[in-house]
Amino acid sequence: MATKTFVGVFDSDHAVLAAARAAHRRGMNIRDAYTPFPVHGMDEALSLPPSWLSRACLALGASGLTFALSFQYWVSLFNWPMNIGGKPFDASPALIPIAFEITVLVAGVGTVATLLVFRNLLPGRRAPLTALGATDDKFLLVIDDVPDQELKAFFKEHGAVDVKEVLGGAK
Amino acid sequence: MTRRSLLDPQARSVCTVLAVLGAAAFLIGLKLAPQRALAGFLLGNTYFLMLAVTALVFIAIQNLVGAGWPVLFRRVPEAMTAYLPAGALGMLVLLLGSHSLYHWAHHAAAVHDQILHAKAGYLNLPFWAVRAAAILSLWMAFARAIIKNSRRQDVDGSVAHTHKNKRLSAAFMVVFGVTFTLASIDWIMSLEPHWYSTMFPWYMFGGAFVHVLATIALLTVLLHRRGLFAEFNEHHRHDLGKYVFGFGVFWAYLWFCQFLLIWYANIPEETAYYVLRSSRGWMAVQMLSLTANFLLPSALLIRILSKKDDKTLIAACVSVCLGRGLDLYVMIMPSISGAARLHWLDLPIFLGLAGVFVLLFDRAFASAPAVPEKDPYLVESLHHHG
Repeated sequence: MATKTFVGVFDSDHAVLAAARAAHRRGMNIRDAYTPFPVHGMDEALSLPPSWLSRACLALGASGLTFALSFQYWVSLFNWPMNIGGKPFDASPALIPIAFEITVLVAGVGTVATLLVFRNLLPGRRAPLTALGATDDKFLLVIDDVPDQELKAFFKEHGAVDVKEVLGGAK
Repeated sequence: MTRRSLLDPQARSVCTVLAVLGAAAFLIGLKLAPQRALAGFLLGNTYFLMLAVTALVFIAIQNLVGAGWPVLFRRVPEAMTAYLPAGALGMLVLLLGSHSLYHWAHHAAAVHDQILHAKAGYLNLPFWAVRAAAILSLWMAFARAIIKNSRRQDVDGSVAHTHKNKRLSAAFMVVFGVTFTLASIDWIMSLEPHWYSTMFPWYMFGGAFVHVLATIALLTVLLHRRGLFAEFNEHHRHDLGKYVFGFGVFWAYLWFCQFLLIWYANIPEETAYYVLRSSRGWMAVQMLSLTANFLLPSALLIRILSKKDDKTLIAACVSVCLGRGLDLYVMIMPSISGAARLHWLDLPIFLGLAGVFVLLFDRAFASAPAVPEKDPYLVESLHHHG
């Protein structure tokens, strides 16, 4: 019983979402879905585990905040104390805007960088899937570990306009 | 179609008793401590009046951007605007008591005070009353028109009402921007007539908007628990939670902005406001307000799962509603009494107005179907999905 990786190509977000839900109900192993825009409800249909990216974001934000505050305090209290407008050296309100901006910067840029590194999406990565239209107007659903004929029939039944085999499996 | 009131007779009588006790406390207070009684009344009335008008802002924003998801519970903010006429009546009471409340309203004050003399062209009682009348009639007219269209759609199901409301909402947002700015300057900022802050109306809006979002979320979740809005699901809660979280941060941003600019420039006539509000116990109230409006709700709602959980959402919203009261307390009361001390009049008057608000809300909510059944966007709201 041969099992390979197949890609179902769909014309609309509704069709691919319906197919993904049906596949999930049947207990098929959905590897991934590729859509030109985020499809609402797809994360549930794929039963993706909650992302840990939000925690990374929190940790990055907290380190940005710590860095910004400690650096500013270090400069204005120890390294180069300056009298600005008669304010005390530890003028906390003046440090808040910079602390806020650095927090947002580190959290924002850091989260995107984390995503790119951990999902292996850095520039130069070879595109594993070459179905035309995946970034344009086609919606792809990748399923494996299902007997070939059954999978092909399943895709057709759910309105796939094309079914492709991924040689050597995805990845 | 009229449904039964949501309040059981017991709750209704509690509200009525609160309203009557509040009125009694206010009347006794007018004899014993008129300034404090009026300040307490100003606080409570502003709290609910701004809640009512920003409820209309919420509706207008959703109409303008064509948002489908909140249509299911749109009747909640619609019913919240029912306090507008009562609030207008409250402003009339404050006009009658303005001599005890607003220092600039004294003729003698403007004669001997150079700053007040220079401001007298704007800060005088007749002009103040005309502005208040214009502001309140505009708010009531827009609320009436927008809600009337929404209810007519229940009958004939015509899409024309949606289009009409879109145009009305656009006009209202412009009108609101001007009128709300004037209202916050006239009613609250002028309590300190020597002081001014160009951030003040923004800050006021930040507070009012996070408050209205929290109240809408709170009422909707509570009504859902009582069996209404069967299709209300975790995605609605998630979106409401995001709204409350985001605008809590927005409020804190404005709260701090106003302070930072004044602290930095360090000009005596501007800092006087904060000098008073960071001494004699007021600092503690400020910190409590910051915690209730921003720190606690943000910490509670930061996770996706907690935004979707109705208990956490309720806790965060209650915190914001209390925080809004503290926020207004810090704006109003230091101008009236030097030290931060709860007066026996403060709570009864506030609770009395709360009773009035709940009764008016309940009556307005019961006077129309709970869900705008024929709204073209309703389908989207029923299947709301992340």
